Amino acid sequence: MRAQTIPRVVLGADVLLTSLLLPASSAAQLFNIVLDGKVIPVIDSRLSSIYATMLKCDDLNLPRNLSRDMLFKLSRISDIISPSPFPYLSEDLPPEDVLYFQIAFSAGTIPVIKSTLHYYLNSSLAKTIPLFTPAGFLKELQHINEYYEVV
Amino acid sequence: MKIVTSRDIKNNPNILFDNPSETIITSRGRPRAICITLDADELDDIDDFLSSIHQARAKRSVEKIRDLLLRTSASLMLTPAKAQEIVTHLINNQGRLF
Repeated sequence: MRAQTIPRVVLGADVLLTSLLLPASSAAQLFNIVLDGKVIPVIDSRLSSIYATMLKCDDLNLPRNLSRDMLFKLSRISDIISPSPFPYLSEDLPPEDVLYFQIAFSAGTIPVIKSTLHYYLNSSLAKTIPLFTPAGFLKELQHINEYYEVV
Repeated sequence: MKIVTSRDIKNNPNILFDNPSETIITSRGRPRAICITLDADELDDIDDFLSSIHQARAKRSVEKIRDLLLRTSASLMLTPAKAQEIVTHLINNQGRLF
């Protein structure tokens, strides 16, 4: 059997949020796989700040120390990169969305996981970087695992 | 599990190796670190070993947040559909940043 490399992904903040609020969702299932070390999340300092901002929101009412602690521990199981300059210009997406693609590109064109894909369907960037929903990526993982069981 | 202070270690570093299990190190009355004894052959897998610790800690931390959110949502009678509404609300409020 061929050794399988651990897949790396860029997790959208929406996926992280859904995985915390809805433990039975595909986002939570994917996040559990991340916590088991079978998928490595890739982050940079800006994405980390976005996660932090999201967890600070009043609707969640989370104690700051809990969310800070979780993000710190999440960073310990993540690949932290400094994104390289992004060669693609995308006028069809706002800069904050481009961040996900920039990190994915810098990490070697790895998948971006977002809860909804409709914003990106017509984006030229989405044709360059693989884009999945959590459910879609779980299916992809299943295919990858089946492939490695056969090879 | 043994508990030693940083002062104990300063006075007698071997105190960490007396006990074959884990030792909690405290400083100024607060737990600051944990010392785990290793066999020489375990050093080969030290990266995997440390990754397992990081994963377990991250998992525990996520569980705490999920438990808290679950309790909050239980008190608000939050159904999965309602939770999804909150996610959507947050996403809409914060723009497409999320």
